Formats: sequence, C-alpha cells, structure tokens
Amino acid sequence: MNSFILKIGRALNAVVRRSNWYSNIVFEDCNKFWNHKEFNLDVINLGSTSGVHSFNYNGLDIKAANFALSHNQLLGDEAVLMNYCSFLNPGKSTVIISLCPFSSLAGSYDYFDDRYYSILHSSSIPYFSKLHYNGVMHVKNRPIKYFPCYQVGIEILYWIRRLLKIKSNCKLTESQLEEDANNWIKGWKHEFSITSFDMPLSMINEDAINDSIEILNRIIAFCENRNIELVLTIPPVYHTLARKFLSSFREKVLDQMINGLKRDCYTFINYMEDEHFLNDRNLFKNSFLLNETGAKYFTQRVLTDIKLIKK
Amino acid sequence: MITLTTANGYIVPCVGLGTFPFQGRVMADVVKYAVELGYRLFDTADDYRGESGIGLGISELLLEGTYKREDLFLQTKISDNNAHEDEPLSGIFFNPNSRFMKRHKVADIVREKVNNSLHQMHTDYLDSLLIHYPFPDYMVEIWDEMIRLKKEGIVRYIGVSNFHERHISRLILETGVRPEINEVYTSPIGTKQSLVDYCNINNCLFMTYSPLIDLVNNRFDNSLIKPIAEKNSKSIAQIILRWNIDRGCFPLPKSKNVLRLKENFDVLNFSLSSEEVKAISSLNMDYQYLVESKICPGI
Repeated sequence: MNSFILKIGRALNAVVRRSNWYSNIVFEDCNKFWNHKEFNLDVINLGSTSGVHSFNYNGLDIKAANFALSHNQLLGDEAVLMNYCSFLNPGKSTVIISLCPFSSLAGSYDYFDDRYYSILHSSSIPYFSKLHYNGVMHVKNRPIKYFPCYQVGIEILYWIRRLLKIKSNCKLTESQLEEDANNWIKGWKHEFSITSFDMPLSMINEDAINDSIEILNRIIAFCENRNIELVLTIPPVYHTLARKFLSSFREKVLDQMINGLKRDCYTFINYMEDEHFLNDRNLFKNSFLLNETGAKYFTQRVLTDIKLIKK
Repeated sequence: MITLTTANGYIVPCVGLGTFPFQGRVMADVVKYAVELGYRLFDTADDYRGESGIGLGISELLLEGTYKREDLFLQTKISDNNAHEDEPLSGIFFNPNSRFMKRHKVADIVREKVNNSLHQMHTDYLDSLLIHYPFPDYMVEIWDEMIRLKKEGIVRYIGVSNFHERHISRLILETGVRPEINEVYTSPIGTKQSLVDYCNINNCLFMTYSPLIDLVNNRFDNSLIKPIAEKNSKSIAQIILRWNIDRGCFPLPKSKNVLRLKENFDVLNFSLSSEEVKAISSLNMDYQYLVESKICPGI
C-alpha cells in the first residue's frame, strides 16, 4: 500500500515538474541548463529576455546553445559564462552577449533570484546562503510539496491558451504593436526610475552604467584569456519601439557603456534598427521580442555576419 | 498657532491637502479644484509619484492666468522611496547597507532629489521641504544640506516629518537650526500631546497627516463627538479637523471627492471651546496605525 502511495506521489511530482508553474515561473529557463549534455560548442549566446527570444539554432549546421535567461542581468551573464565555459570548444568558440537598450542600467543588480541556485555554483552567487540553497533544492526536487492549489486552474487555462495560440498563430496589429511599445517603455521607465528621457541620468543610473562597464570588461578579459571570441549585439526591435529611444538617450545609456569597454577585444553589432527587421511584423512576437521565425532569421544573420556560417 | 506664508506674503489657510496616492490627471484635477476652493498648501513626497500631476495642475492653472505660482504653497519630502510596494528604488536611499549610499555623498543625493522634485512640479523653488523620516544614520547630513538649500533660496521652509522629540533636539543640537515644521500622524485616539507641546514650545508648526483616517475606518466610538458636531452644525470630520487646528495643529486631510474637499476646507469659520478640545483629546489611547520604526528601524 505504502509503495503504491509513493508511486502516485512520484508520478504527481513528475507532473508538477512539467507544469508551467515549475518550468516558467519558479525555475524559468533552467531546464536547458539542467539537461544540457553537448560539449565542444562552437557558439553560445547569453543575455536576458531578448536573448532568450532572439536566438534559435535549430536547422543550422553548428553546435550551439542558447544560454540566455529571462530577466537576467549582466552579472548573471558573467556567472553563466564562468559556470558553463567548459561546454565550449577549447579550440575556437564564440560567445554572443545579447544586450538590450537598458542592459547598462541593470549593471548594479547584484541579487540573484532562487532559480540561479539550481544552475550556478555557490561561489558565483552573491550573498549565497546554504540554508536558502537547501530550500531551493527542496522545491526543485519535491515541487509537489510546494505546488500552490490555486495554480491548478491557472495551469489548465495556461495550457488551453497555449494550445489555442499555437493554432491561431495570431500576430499583433500595427496599433497593438504601438501600444505594446508604449507598455515596454513605461515598464522600463518604472524599473529604472526614469522620469524623462530628456533629463540627465540619475546618480544611481550612472553607477549602474559604471558597474556594467566593469562587468563587461571582466567578461572581455575572461574571453581573451581563453581565446574565446566575444560578440556583443543588440537584437532588432520593431519600429514602433525603436523610434521611442531618442538618440540622446541612446548615447547616455548605450554608447557610454560601449565607449567604456576595452577596445579591439570584441565585435559589436547593433541590429536595433536593422531594415530587414524594423518593419516586418511577421518576425515579431511583440514590439520587443522576435518570434520563432524572427529568431531563426536573426540567428542566421548574426552567425553569417561574424562569419561562423556561410550564406 | 504658527503661520505659514506664501512667497507673495499671504498667510496660508491652516488646512492643506494631503495628496498621496493621487497621480497624473486625477492629481492635476484635484489640485485645480482645491485651489478654487481656497486650498493653498499641497503636501507630497518625492516617492509618492504625484509630483508630476501637481506640476501638471499648476501649469494649467498658471496658463489660465487666475493664479500665480507665488499664490501656492508646495511641500515635498526627502524620502527613502518606500511609498509604493512596487518601488524599484526601495532599500537604496538612506540605508547604510546599500552600495549606493557608500558611493555618494548625502548632500548630492538630496540635491538630486530636490532637482527632480522641482522638475516634476514645474517650479524653480519649493515652499517647504521635509525629511520624510528620521533616518537614523543620515538625518543630520540631510538636514545640513537642507539648511544650505534654504540659504540659496531654493526652499523657503525646512522641516521634518515623523520626528519625535529626541530627533528634533538632535538636529537643533548638532546644527543649531530648528525645523519649522514637523508633519506627524495624529488622531483623537492617538493625540501625541507631548510631541505637540514640544513642537509648539520650539516654534515648530505641527502638521498632521491622515487626520481623518481613524474616523473613516471606524476605529473609535464617535458618540462623544456627535453632540459637539450637532451643536456647531458641522460634520464629525469637520469637528476633528477643527480639533486639530484648535490644539495648534495644521491638518492635511486627503480627498479627491469634490464634496469632501469642500467640507474639509469649511472649518475655518468656527472654533471649539477648550472644554470641547479636551473632551475629544480624552479619547486618546495612544493608538498608532503604523509604527514609524517599521519604516525606519532604529528610529
């Protein structure tokens, strides 16, 4: 009887591990790290949400992995690189870091959320706590004990919506993309406490840019020491969003960061206003993120531009 | 009672408008309507997210030409960005553990905050600037910079908020400059009489925020106030506001409801007898709905 109950428990635990709550909320984007087994990679990409959505190596004749994490910060990129660099081809490999317009302003973020405990070594986690680590790993291994009851309904709705979306494959209209761009800008303004793009950057944002420069320079040095080619790139965004970044603001948050980096040790390619993407709604999930078609197209484009594959 | 004046020398009516948590268009409309009713003092803080709405309302009023900036009295506060749950900067300012505080001078932080408030409210001076909480490790440094801002004419009055007697005396002891305002929460069930007396003795205007919150939330039996209200043909809320004024306090009730804005301001044409003030004060049970040390540990 006891073994039967245990079997049921294990089966339910396995179901919860496949849930949206587990894979996309508590341990968002972690599965790919837990399950990655392929070594001698020619290329990996890091980055935040835009990196997750901008790279898709399916169908390309290259050994590659998308190691970007949603809601990641530059310090997270550095930690992922240090923890997973042995997956790279020791002879010749490339690391692509996907930046977004506001990456530099998250440079001072030094708090890693719980999921990082499941993919990084303790020495890479600022303010690491063994007690906290034990708690996180318990959630990872026994999610059934933590799965919230209210989530059952949400989970069912999620899978229904997901199925419907796949079937309808709906694209946003031009006006929806305009509204979506406004929402992204509103969210970033809130996150980084920017009252106006015209105003000088606050001291805290200036600090963040300096911290970003410091982190990126450490990554540059890390890659240089290991003969890894580093590529910094900004993925394309839809024109409704691109035109909201005033050039004066770009200079403040992006150019200032790039200008502070150790030169000649990396390639920087900015696709933010690339004509091939800017006005093509078919390539975008929303005004900021590429869809699957867009990601495949963009990945091919980047790898061609850095001469890892031929046209 | 200590009086405040606007920049053009008029005495500010002793009821101001609390504005948290109004924002944007709603805030602008409330400000405009309140000015029409006679309100002159508008109280906000740099983390309320309402300063730009106040700025919008004021700009529109000035454009209409009926009022000048000097007719109004704008009061804001130096905060630790704690007013909203989703505040991205919470834990950054005036926190000895924050990296930001180790990197920057308090004076520069105060300057940046004041410049931001000026920009948001479309003004080149503040009538009053307060320290939102007695941040234990930083209050004297903040106060020093506020004294400089006053000397430079960027701020007309400088004061404090949520300060107890010992915080005020520390500022006076260390800088020799007394705060002109102390904005604190009080109500008939939390009169804080000793602090009121201390402020009155030290010529520090005692402002009261959320003066009606305990009434609105039915936290006390108002059967004692009812007959006083009936005798004066006023509402219980008006009696509580007048009780504030008659004990030397300057209440800052908040409302966006047109009728209540009107009602709250209509308390300047009567007064309570000293017996009535005492009777209402007798409801005191040292009640405090939000302990300051929860926001400002080590207060």
